[in-house]
Amino acid sequence: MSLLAVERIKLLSTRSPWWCAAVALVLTTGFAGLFAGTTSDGSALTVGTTQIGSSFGLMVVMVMAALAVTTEYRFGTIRATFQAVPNRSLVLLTKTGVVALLAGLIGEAAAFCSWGLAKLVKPAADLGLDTAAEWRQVAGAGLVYALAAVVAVAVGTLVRHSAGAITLVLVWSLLVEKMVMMIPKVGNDIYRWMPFNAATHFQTSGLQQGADAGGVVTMPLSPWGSLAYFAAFAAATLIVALVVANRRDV
Amino acid sequence: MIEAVGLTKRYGRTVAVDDLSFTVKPGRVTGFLGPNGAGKSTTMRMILGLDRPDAGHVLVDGRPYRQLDRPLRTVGALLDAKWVHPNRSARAHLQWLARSNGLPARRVDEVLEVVGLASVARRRAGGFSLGMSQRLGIAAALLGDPQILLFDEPVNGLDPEGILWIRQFMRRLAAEGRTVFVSSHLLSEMALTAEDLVVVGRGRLIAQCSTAEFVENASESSVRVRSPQIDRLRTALLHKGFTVHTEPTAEGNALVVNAATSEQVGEIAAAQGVVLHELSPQRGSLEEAFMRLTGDSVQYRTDTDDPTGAPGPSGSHAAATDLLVPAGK
Repeated sequence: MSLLAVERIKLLSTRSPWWCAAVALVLTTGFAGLFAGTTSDGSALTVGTTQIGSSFGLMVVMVMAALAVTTEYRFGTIRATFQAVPNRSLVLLTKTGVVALLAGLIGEAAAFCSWGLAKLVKPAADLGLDTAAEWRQVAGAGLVYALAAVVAVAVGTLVRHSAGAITLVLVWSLLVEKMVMMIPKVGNDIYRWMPFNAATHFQTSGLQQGADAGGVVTMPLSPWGSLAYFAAFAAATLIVALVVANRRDV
Repeated sequence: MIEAVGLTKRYGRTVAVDDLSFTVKPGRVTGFLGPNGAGKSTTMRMILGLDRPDAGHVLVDGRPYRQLDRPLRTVGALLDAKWVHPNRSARAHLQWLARSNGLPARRVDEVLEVVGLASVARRRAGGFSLGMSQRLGIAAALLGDPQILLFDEPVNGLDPEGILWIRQFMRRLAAEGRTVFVSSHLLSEMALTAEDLVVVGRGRLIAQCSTAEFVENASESSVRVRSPQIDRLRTALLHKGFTVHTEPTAEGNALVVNAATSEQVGEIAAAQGVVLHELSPQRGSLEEAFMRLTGDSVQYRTDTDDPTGAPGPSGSHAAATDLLVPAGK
């Protein structure tokens, strides 16, 4: 499909996605390496703890995904795009697909590199991928990265400004969801249904990893149910973005 | 062929384009003329389906732009040369455009050759000069070998060489039978390039006619005379009901007789036995014609009273001049 090629060329003919991919990999594997290198107690190092830097990579990937669309508005290439392909929905869906695919690949690479590095640093530690939960913990990163990228593309399409979109995405996922818990009585109930919390639950449940949020609040859905919930949230934001993009000028 | 019918676009309470209807025919360069802020760019964006009209519609080749299949093959447009990612190479920019409309990759090299950018194809577009960006924009417009071409203020900010190049280029495109629609706020520029004109002021259609016709109707003819017996001549002319004003020149004062022919002035002078040192018919400048016509539309909109009526060569049309950017002078 030529549109896929178009979005691939657009994404990879600028440097920012390459930088973002590199930064995401270095951050996640770097944390895994540091953690593995500095733990003296072998039992502290588990498959779960090798993924300790995963959320850093996730933030970088969301920035990349938001930029993939906001820079098009910033530089006017979105107009050139809609001039070449007037079907807004098709353009944005393809872009979302390409960005999500790249984000997913970065997620898998980051997760397996982190795990691999930890295994190299501490060959004695029990880091075998023996259970379904352990596989989900490592290989699930790609799914979470891809869906988070969908959310970031949708927000970027809605906000159109790089700074605004990035701020919104990061502040929401890092601060707002956790601060909701401070609301008396209903805070925890709301937090249970927060999308990025659901994504974290999918990746971390069933494994011992530090002060995981899943331990504070009992989650209403199973790990895979949580992922489906996060996917539904991503789809909903994307639909809103498509409707708005089709309605407004340019 | 571009057909606009009753095109209207509002931004809040401002009416950018107001019930605008016009037709652009193939095989010639049609100028889209109006002061800055007259709604030219908005109209062009509506032609390309980028902005949605609040009323009316515009068709290219009989269809709305958004319904065109692979539109770059039908319509090529340069609305803003800056619509390029600065960190992308000129070649990559054209590559994705070509792919989007199923155009072969060699077409990219062809158009780069046509606009003379082949040697800098791999350089990042952000480092291009305005002239080079403009050429890249034109290359993008030509990519699909379209029959309809739109250019929004293509010569703005270009050096004389670039202006000449674009002018000749547009005429060549029209000579090949294409529809060329080019906007400008400079009538003098359009007089050199366009055969037809669509003139707008404040979003409204002022005229659609040939450039020659527009200049003919719009500019008032006058006659300039110099004479050693200038006072006697003035009295005679005033007596015949002509309006006259004095214009200082290097050779002493001259008289400018409005709405007169050189024959009339010559005969009056002969009848009075006045010696003439100069008798020359004058055409009002294109800029004056333009300002007068678009000025009217401004007056209509804002109720600014112009006590002098039709502006003479000395010009007293502040309302219209306000609309012209400094670059226009």
